[in-house]
Amino acid sequence: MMRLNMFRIILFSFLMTILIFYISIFLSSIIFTYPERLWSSILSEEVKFAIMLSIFTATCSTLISLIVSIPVSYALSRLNFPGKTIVEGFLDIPMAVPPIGLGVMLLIFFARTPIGIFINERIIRFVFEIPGIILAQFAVISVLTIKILKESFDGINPRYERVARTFGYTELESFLYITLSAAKRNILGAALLSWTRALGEFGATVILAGATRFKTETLPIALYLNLAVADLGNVSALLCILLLIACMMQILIRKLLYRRFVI
Amino acid sequence: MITVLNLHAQRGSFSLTNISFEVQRGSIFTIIGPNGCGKTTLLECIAGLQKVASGKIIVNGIDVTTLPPEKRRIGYVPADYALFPNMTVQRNIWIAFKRSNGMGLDDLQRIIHLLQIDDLMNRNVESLSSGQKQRTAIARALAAKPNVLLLDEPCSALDPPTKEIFRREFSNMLKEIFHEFNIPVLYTTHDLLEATAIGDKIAVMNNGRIEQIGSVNEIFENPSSKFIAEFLGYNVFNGKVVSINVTSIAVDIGGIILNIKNNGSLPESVKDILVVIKPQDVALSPMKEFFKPRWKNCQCNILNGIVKRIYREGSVAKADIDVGNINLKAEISPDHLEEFNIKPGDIVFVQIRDSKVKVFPKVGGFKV
Repeated sequence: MMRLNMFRIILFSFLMTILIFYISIFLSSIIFTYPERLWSSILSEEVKFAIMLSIFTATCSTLISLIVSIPVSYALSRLNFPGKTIVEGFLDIPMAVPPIGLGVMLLIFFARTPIGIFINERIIRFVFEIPGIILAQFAVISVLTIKILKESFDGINPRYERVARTFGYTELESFLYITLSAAKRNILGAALLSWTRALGEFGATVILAGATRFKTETLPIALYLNLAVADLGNVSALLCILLLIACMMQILIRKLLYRRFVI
Repeated sequence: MITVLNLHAQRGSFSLTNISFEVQRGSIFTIIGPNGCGKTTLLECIAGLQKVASGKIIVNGIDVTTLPPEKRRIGYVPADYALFPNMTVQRNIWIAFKRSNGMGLDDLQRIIHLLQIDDLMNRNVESLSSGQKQRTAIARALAAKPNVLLLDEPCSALDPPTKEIFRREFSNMLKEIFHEFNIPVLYTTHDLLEATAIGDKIAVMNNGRIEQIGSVNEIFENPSSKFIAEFLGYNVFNGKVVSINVTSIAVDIGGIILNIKNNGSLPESVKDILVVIKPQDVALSPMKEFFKPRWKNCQCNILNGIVKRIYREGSVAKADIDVGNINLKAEISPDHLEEFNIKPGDIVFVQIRDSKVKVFPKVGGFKV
């Protein structure tokens, strides 16, 4: 049993305050809107479309992000090359730029630069299309994935790979069989965090892919569109779904990343 | 068999210089030296994990110097064992076994049995004790069927009681295993007792160089440099020859005159010398009579000293004695310590037989 003193009581008071703050805003947004319309709203075509599109795009962007981030973060963790610090710093920049700013940059690239126009018109249409959602989500989450995975690889002793090489494994095989195996929990955790972040992505998506009902309407965009027309039934349904997904992801992330799950 | 010829390597500002030795199949070659002398760098060069600037590494007649580690078939057990932490003991061993060239399941089972890890196979390596980790790491390295095995300070992670057990029991067990598998083993340590317990042959390393190679006896009886004598814990003093005749040499070490048996190895013209005395040849007694009856016919130096400190190292007791301006290290059996009741601050008689003092010319005769 923890002993209580004034300092600990103060600490707990702050903890309770922040908890009450968030619980209040979570619950009020559901209870004080139109709870009677909650179920019908969840079953509406628009919300179902938003859920499906969000899950699809977040899954695609997370997978692409993982495919790119695993080798990038491993290279940053293990290789020493001139300008490494600059590269690491550069990859942190997108985290400091607001997502809406990233969206604007992406839009300018595809709408104004010759190479961007060529890609958009001849290869894949990103502007105001579903691939644009995936690209916007990728731009926002990949730096996060790289950061998490680099820390994970940093925590794996490079000696494991070196020892594996003395058993007859090549550098690539050591990476695949030893390092990836040791990092699999963290990779899964990073994927879930990135997926959750992609699911809630709004700023970059709305600029690059637009906010068109039943076309580029992800959950956050649906929330924005329904709020714009004051459809609070749909708003509360969407909030419920977003909160539910966030809760489920937190449970999974904690179980995977922290190897414990205690209530 | 492994042969290392004139190996040079650079690691930052540290360099390995002119390393040469040969280890036969089935024998254990111990490389001993203080921390930072280059033992790990040398093993990593041999394993192919460090770049070699020049020289040759030949395994069973094949030059492997430029081969990548995966093509060398040289097993390596680092000091921290590097067991894959997310895997069981079985999985760790299986990973190595999968790449073994011609190792049968029976051989693998025998390794597991000999190293007494049969019951640990389903345990996660993180739950093992340091001794169990050590045996698992050795079993894993052997499971890859290497042509040479490198063990980098395998006892450094063990606690003192486990280290003692290792010296008493597992060193013999490992010797048997290595002889049975008939591969050369390179074993590094900074622990003298460990080196003497396991090694067939010893190389003493200092500052990136091998200072001496020899049997345990050769190294302990005839250290070839001041560094080795000091590393072995011997008393090493600068001295001056006072007089020399056919039978004895009188030397001055810090104002103390010692009579030493002249075995003819010291040229008459030499004045500046190094004097080496083993701590076990320094006898202490509270009385001025001979420590051992059989010493009665020997020429013995009897000096007055004050006990400064008494401490234990394993089963032996050691004492620092101030004799005039010099400090002598003495090794005494705990029985004698108890019998004479020697304590710090006591005045004692220090007895050193003339035949047990070694002298070397300061320049030339003894590497300084």
